[in-house]
Amino acid sequence: MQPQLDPEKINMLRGLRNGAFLPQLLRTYREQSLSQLTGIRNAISSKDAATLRSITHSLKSASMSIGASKIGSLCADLETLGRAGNTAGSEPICAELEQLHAALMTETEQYL
Amino acid sequence: MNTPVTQQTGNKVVLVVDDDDTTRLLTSTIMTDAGYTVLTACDGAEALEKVAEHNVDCVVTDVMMPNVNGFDLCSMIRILPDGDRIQILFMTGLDDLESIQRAYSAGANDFATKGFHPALLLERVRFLLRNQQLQDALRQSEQRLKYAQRLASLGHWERTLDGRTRAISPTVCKFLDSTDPSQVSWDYLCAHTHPDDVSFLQLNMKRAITRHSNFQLEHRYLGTNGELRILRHQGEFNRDANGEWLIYSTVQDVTENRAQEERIRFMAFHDPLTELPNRASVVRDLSRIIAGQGTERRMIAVFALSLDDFSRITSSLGQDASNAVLKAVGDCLRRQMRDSAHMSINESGDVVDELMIAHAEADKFICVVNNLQLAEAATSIAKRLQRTIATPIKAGDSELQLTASIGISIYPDDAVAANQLIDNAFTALMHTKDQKAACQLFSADLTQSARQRLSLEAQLRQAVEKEEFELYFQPRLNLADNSIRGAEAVARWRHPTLGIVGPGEFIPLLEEMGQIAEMGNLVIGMAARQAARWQRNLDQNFRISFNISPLQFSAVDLVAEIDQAVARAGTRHANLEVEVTESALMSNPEQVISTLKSLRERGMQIAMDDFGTGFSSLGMLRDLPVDILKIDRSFVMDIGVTPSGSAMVNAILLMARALSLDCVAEGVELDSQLNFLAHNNCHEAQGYLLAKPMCAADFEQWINKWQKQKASVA
Repeated sequence: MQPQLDPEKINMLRGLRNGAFLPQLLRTYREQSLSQLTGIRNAISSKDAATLRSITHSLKSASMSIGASKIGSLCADLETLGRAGNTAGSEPICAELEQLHAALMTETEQYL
Repeated sequence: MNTPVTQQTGNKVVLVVDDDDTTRLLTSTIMTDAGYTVLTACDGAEALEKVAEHNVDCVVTDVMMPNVNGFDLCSMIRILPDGDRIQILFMTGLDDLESIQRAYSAGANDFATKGFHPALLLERVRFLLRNQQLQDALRQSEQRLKYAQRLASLGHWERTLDGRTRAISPTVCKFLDSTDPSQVSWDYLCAHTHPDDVSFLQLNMKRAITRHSNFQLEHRYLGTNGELRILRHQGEFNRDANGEWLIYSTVQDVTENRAQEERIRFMAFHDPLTELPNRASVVRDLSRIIAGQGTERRMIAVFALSLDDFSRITSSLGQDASNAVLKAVGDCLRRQMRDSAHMSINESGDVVDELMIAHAEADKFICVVNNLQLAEAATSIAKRLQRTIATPIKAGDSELQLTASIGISIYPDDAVAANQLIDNAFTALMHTKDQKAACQLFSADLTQSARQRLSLEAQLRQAVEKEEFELYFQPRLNLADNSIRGAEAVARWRHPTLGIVGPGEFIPLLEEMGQIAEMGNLVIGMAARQAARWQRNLDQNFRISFNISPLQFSAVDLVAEIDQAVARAGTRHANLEVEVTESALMSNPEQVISTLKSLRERGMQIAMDDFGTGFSSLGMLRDLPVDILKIDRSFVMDIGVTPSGSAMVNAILLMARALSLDCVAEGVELDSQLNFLAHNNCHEAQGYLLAKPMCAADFEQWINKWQKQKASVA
């Protein structure tokens, strides 16, 4: 599997506060994304499109911020579904999202 | 990436608004490292609070957030005073063209896409703040020019809040007798101000500084050679380019104007010959005394005094001599007045005080004695005045023995208005004609107007006793589900002959009569009883709101009164709501706020009436114990009429939502207004479109019909 994080972005983030900021940012992301994934899963099983939309919107921002663009675009797809008032078809996207997210969690450990 | 902290970024405040923790952390870190002072907020509502509390220069905001989103935040900031100088930058997704367009129309200055490079974001912010600085500088130079032009003869003085001079014109230095502008400061001004005016000056300046409110001050100033001048300061508060508050004021030497005004005023209220106050002056002072009496009506005697046969004296002695006589009489009366002022008990044992003496015209004088215990005392005072006049007066080489006749009228028996009292005294005086050293009490009927007013007051007093009041109810429509869950109660007076009288006609009179608290208690009792009834018949959460006059807060223990009414009627506090005007909240904030807090703790809702017509600020609203804003009808009328009219109502609604307050729109008369309000999430509406205020029976019929209609539609 290809790395989730954009190396250029990681380099840039490493430059902040002489490298001291990146672990802080990633810890924040890891914490929030874990609970958001649970939220997405619940929203899909309860067919709550509005919640799906707002959580994926937020996770999209966060993922873009740390340079995890693939996860970001999967979130955007789910957000589009949610915006249309729909949760049908979200299942496979969510599965892929979970898979990539697991990989990201492993990948980010080296920077913590 | 390390960006050096520059002087430019150091004192700028950037507010980062984002509901996403990771993005907010990243953006705020980038801004902090660039040297900005950074504040953060998780949504638009919190951002608004930060903007109200801090001097924010730039807002970097997300678009989609819970509660208040980025667009609404932007619109609301633009409506705040000084809100147009805040630079607003939106962070959007790359693909989100629609958001970008909406952001600009909401008043955004710029946007940046998410997943940005920090250097790019910083460049945007720097550009915006540079732009702001240019705008500030332009604004300031325009302001200076305005001051300079306003009055070329004025001096101009710009100083910091702690009184250090930033800029001063030579004219001001000249007024202050200073040759060195660098020595002039607020302290310097105070040090040379007349000692009696210093505390006034400092207190008022302090007050203006606390409120940043425009000010006008006048004080006496001692020049270096001991010369006294009167200086007038007029100023306002504005921020300079660095955001520091400065006082911009004009200074004027008004010594000459004041002296002239003083002469004019003296002439307007004094007789030029005797230099005694004239009739106009008595009317003024007497009116003040009467107005100051309130409900306790102590007697006042007005004496009209004329010298007997004075025309004969004039024709035999000549004009100059007779003028001298009048002057002497005036002095004599003045002495008498001075002596009496020290003597609070006259020879008959009546306590008197406050004597006034005036020269009405030619040989006629007016005396006024306040605080009479007995009407009969007036006659003995008249006798004393006559004895004073009888003291021989020197006229040239000879001595004259004069006599005077006196007419008397007494407040409040003979009249209640100053002018009328004096007229009545002169009428009585006329009846003494051809007699010498006579004395006549006014005895004619009361004037028509005085009688009418007294009778209305008497009827109203009776109405309070007999509880001739009734509550009318205007329904409040819940815009979310078209239900009626409350009504505003308005008091009506069922007058025996006039019919139904509205509150506008009797509330002010009751306030004047000092009976508003009694009336208010009646309203509370009636509202509580009605609430108990409708709680059973209509809806157990049905709420009745009623108005509280500012005077009620100080007159009675409102909380105890309401507790009692609630208990007696067998209802709950939650079924009642009080409406208070902004001005009542402002007039005695501590007492009113603590009363409202107690009521709220008991479950009552507090509504702010006529919202928008007073001066509540965003910051203040948050601290007040208020649950509901009633949007004044004047704003509702403007919906759809002017673009700013609709925007204003929308802004109030958004602001209310940010502060978790409900809104009730008043005076809704058109379907279009109702649609607008419903569309913009206003909670409730009342107005003629729905129904006029109705008596309780009519209200019950109306609401039954309403519910049937609603059921049939559903």
